[in-house]
Amino acid sequence: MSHIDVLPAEILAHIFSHEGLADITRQVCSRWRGIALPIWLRRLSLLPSDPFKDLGMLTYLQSLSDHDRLYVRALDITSRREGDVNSSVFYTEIADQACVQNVLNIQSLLGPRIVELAITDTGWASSSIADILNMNLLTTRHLHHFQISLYDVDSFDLLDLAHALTQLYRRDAVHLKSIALDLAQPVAREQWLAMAECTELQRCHLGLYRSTEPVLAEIFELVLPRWEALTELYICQPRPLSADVVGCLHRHLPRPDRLRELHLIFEACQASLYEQEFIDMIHAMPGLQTLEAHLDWTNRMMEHVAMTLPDLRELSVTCSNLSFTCAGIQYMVWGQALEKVNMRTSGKIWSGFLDAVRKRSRRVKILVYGSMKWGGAVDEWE
Amino acid sequence: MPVILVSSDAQEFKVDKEVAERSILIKNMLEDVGESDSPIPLPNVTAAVLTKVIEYCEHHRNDPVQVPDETDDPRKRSNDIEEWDMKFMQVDQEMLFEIILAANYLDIKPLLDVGCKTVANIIKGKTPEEIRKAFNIVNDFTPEEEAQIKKENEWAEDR
Repeated sequence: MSHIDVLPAEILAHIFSHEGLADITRQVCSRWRGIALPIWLRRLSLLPSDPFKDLGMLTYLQSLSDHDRLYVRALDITSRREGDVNSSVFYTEIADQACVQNVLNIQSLLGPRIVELAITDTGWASSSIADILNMNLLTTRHLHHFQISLYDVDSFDLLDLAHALTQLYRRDAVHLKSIALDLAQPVAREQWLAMAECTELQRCHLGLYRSTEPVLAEIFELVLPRWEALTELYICQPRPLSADVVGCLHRHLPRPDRLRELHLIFEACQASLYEQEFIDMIHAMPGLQTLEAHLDWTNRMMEHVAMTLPDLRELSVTCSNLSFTCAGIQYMVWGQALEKVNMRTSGKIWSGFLDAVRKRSRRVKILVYGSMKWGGAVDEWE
Repeated sequence: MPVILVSSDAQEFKVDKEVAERSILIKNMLEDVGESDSPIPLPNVTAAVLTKVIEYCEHHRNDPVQVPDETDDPRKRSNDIEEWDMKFMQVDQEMLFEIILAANYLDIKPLLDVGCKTVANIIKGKTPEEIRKAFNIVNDFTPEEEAQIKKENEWAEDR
């Protein structure tokens, strides 16, 4: 009789890579432990919120350091002291110092093994973030993934931090595959220029949360032209989308045809203002597999998405435009790859929409949210 | 055009070429030999398992070709199995592992994924002891390994 032991290590590793399984499977038997432990350690987030607990962990990791398979990859620097109402200024300062010291220790011990860094200024002093980044520059060889969230106004005024960020982009220009930025304030032009040098970048997340600045079209002009390898782009800005921004996006991307994922999260506004630019953009990106667009849609935009994107797998639409009905697309040939449509709309959806989409893809799932009206029965949509 | 597949126990299966070509191994073999009606031997797959594999490929014959996912996604999910696939995988453990091995050998990635997700779902939510029981695994940890696990669990809790 076949036993699970007949499965080779690479298949077991594939199984153990599913959400949270490496943690439990490392505790089952020696063979499973040998396979699961490296996966578990690779996924380990070092949260320096409890320096004393982390000291125990560091000792442990040090004791394993000769182990070939030990490869701690992600350092997630998140303070857990956010919202701690009991913390006095004194406690906060002491705790901050201890935590920073802990992060510096982690980096000095594991620096060369760290290739992913996620950092947020919430709960940290801005100067501490600058220290951590400077230490990172000293101890890591290079990063593949860098994520930073800066919400504190002080973070944007700290020259030391800005300098460390610029240095990091320049140092890792040929290694960074993914950058995720969430910024509450504009950053200096020099930083965008340094980021533009990251020519191997495949994924970029830009969350720009101040509504008036920075101006996206100008940023696109600075950063996009050298991002030839880009396949995933996420842009979120709480302001209405303009034709200028859409136009700049596809005109400045050197290889828009390589883009596989595009997320555009904007405030609703009059779709007619950017309709034509949006259609031109879709035609320039025929390889898109995921399209998420929280902005106002028109039926014509939807028609062009159906016509132009044969590989589209997932479409997410949020639209408050009452005249958006999806009508008229029954004759469109939707790509066979379409698996999922998420739709949130206040418009009246024409009932033939579902049939039109299903005509070419039997696996499509359509989720409709919001106070919509529909031409078909409710269960057709859910 | 039909293709003849021969299982390890010498049973012949006549299947449509497009169904057989869900297997990248068979697809490559057919491309290498060109137009030929010689049977294709599959020495690593028994007739019972091949019957199941063909049933899967028949059902998914029109599916778009899966794009290889090169990202090492830490949030790989096991709860998105289609209903038909879930029923298809309701087999005893022996057959489940044999299907996974066959999918791996024949290079049918979607079937391999479904098989792995099914095993992941069996493991999910169980304690190490329950997992040992479910798969008839012997706890062979040395006292040192037990101590190491205990230490790991101490600092890993609440993370």
